[in-house]
Amino acid sequence: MTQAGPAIQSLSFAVVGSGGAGVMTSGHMLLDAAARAGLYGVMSRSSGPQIRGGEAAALLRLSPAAVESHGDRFDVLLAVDWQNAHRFAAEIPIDAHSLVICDPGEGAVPEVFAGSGARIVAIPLKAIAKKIPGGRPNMVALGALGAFAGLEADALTRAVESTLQKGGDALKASLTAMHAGLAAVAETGLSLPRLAPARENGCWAISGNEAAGLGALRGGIRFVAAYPITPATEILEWLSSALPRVGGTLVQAEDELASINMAIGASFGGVPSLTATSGPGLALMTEAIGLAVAAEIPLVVVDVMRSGPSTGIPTKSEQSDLNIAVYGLHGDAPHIVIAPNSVADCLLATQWAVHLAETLQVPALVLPDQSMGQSRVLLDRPADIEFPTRRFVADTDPQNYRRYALTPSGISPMAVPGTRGGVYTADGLEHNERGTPSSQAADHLAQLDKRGRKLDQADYSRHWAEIEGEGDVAVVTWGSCTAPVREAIHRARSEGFDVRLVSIRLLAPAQSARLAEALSGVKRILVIEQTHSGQFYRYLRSAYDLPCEMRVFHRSGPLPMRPGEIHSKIVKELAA
Amino acid sequence: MTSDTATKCTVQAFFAELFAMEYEAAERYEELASQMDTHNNIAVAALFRELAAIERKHAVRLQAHGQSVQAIRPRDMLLSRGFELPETAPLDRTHYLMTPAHALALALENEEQAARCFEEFAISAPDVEVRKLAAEMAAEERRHAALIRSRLAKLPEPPADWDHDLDPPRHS
Amino acid sequence: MNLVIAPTPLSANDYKSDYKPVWCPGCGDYSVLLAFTKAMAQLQRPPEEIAVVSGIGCSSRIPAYTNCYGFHGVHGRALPVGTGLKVARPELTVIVAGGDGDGFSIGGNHFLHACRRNIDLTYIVMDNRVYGMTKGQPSPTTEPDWDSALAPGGTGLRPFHPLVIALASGANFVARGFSGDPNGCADLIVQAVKHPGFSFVEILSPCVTFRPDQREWGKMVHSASVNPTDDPARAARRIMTDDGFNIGVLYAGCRAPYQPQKAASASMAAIEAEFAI
Repeated sequence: MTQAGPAIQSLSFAVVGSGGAGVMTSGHMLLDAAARAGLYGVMSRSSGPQIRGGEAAALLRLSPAAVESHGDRFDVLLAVDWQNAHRFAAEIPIDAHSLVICDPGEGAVPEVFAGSGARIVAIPLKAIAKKIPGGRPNMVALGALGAFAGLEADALTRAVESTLQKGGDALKASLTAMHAGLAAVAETGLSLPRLAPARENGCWAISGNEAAGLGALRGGIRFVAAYPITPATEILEWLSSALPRVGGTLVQAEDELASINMAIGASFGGVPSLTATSGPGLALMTEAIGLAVAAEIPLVVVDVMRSGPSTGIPTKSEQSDLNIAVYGLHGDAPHIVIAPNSVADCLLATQWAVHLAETLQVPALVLPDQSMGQSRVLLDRPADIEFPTRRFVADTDPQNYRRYALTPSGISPMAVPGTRGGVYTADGLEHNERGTPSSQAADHLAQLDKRGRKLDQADYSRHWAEIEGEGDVAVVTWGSCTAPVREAIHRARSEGFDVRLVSIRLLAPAQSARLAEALSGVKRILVIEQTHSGQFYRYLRSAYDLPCEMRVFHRSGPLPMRPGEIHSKIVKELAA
Repeated sequence: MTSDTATKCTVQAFFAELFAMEYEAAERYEELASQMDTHNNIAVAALFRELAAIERKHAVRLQAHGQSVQAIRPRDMLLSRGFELPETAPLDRTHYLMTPAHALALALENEEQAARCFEEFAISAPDVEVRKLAAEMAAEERRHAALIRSRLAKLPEPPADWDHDLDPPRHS
Repeated sequence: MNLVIAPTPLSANDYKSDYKPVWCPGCGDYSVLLAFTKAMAQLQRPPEEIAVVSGIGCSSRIPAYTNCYGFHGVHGRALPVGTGLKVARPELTVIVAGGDGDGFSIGGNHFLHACRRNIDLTYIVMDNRVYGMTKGQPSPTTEPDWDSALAPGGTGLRPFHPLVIALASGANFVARGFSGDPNGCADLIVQAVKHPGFSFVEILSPCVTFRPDQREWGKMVHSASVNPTDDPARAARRIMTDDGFNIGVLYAGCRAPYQPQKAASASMAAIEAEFAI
């Protein structure tokens, strides 16, 4: 069991097998069962490039406390078969304390796993399944995993029933196979330290992509333009069925150039609008996002970051779209960039992005990444957050209406088409207060100032960052690095070493005064990020005037940051 | 004249169309003046504006007979010649460097076209009142044309390179 | 008894703004603007309930010259903007306008899909067979032997045929106009707006500055002496074999327009409950 001081008690399970083996389904059901047993957990998936039949791995971490990221090692690796499983070796670190459960009929344990010194436990999953009419090895596996996770048969049964809603013989066979797996583990006499569930009421199971979709709905998005791209497609597919139910509409576009411009058209029409994409799509959208900046049109664009550059590794996570998100528009085009720091935070971050986009009449980019977008976590039902979201809309029959009037706040009332007296032409060309194209220096300066002022003077509230702990050293990070950083800091704290955590949610505009305040008294910072070139570190250095010493630990995807390695870096860089 | 046209050719209809013709002629000269303003051709802008004022006076006189501005549907109109009404200056015959002589020549064409149109009605309209009115209008248009011709005669011939722009649209 | 006074009908000038167009005198686009204002006056829709959406180019300047809501976006993307606007606000009259470069080159893909989607809007392309704003390069509709600085001796490429493409892609109404006949164009625009689904009107609109040879067009256009058909195959044959100067409505079909429904049927609570275990 992974234990670090008085906290983070958890068990980590990896299930691998080739396509058709049903590994993902087993993992899904295990998470479901854990939920019913009062535990929290997170599940991620990894698969080969094949569309069907490829190798797959389900990675889970279960805990009595809310958990968002994977630990340093896996307690159990269960292989339904070993087809191409070695490809996952780097993502499934095991050691001499781990158990490798495998089917003796599926060949020898690959050296990359056997060499870890883990204890090999043979359970003939296939043979057991064969004895049950309609039984499948992955259901036997589920029982075995459940046994090691310390889950009661009842929780596992309800999980299976909930997933196999069609019932009948298939359900019966699955339950029988699941029980057989439980029994097989009982026979080995092996067990792992039990997790003591602390939660009594129910919980939610949600992925980051679904949470982003829900945040959009809660924020008031009622038009979505969609073009599929890994790993963002699930946001659009979820919204495709949820959005019409609340009176919104979704249009599938022919490409990203169409989807971003459709969203802009709908927003110009007065309807809060959104699209979602990944790095390559965002690159295509930058021209139109600049148009929305210039014409002051509210817009939300979600970029579920994946490994880049170019086509990169579509199914793997990275934080390397920071540069394009912050700097990718031509001209001086201030806009909002928000990064959720966890799966659960995808909801708040997206809802907040809608609020800021609508209030400030500006594009807001939301930057989750593949690891949070496509991971599923168990969490308490997220609290309702009330943002006073309000687009400043012009009254009917405004006298002498000037769309881009130079107001003190920089925000000028936006006439919704249909409003008498509010006629104007929205334009990407620089313009005067009326919106008439202008090449005059005074107009350009006035409008640039207006568009900058409205963002500079906005109240970003406490949501701009998460700031935790005390100490004269700090770790500054963002996005999915936050959870393993938090775990590492916890470990350090239990060793008597106080470290502050600053996880920035509002990447742009930079909040100089607030960061200075958050770091007051701090002498040394360690920046943690998942990029090859240190994009976040360079951004901090350019955007902020930080009086302390700065160090950085950065690494590209596809492998996630782990608490252990961060903890080592904290000790090395900050403790001295 | 077709039998269809003949049926429609009442005095009231004729008057309405006369008003529409003068009104649209005025609007069109005003539009052309505006285009010349934007393109810094002050002399021709002033000339078009003058022509617009003249047509407007004619329209006002006809309006006194009790007509009002309607959405103009020249397709259905008796007086249509080609695509538009006879006295309406075409939108594609201007040039940012055109001279007052060119503008007057254009106006002359319009007046003569209108005169020919009325002369046709003066002969072939079935209604005697319409024929009388048409003949009057034809004579008036001929008088306008003569005035324009004499003004045009006082202007020098535009030089051969009147449309030579020292800064052509393409710089390379 | 109260006298009900009928409101003064809107005239063409009510649809024109105070902004003076920057188009060259003699440009066909002046006629198209005039035709647009006359058409809207015929339809009597209040100007604030009409939106004119354009991309980049000389013709794309048109929104600000009208008194309607306007959107002057980036090059080639007017149709998606118009689509998003119409889907979000189906009660508005949405007109998309632009030139042959904006619409058929960079905008080509969106043109195909807008026709295919058959959304209820009207697309007016002012075709002058040249890139005017950038000072005289060939466009997709330019003749293969037209000499220019960017393509000396001509591109040698077969011109794009927008009416055929529109028909093949599913446009519900296809018409060709000529700017020399602003009243005729006004009629076409009225019919196009009234016709449900995607209505495409190509208006031959000579460029007086870079294509002075197009002066001849006035002599080459002629009325399409046939009734518009609702048979796409027949219309296709007609359009593919005409001389490119056939003016009138060439196809008026009966496909239902695309409009996603917007009736709310669930509460947020019901949607959120689906995440609960």
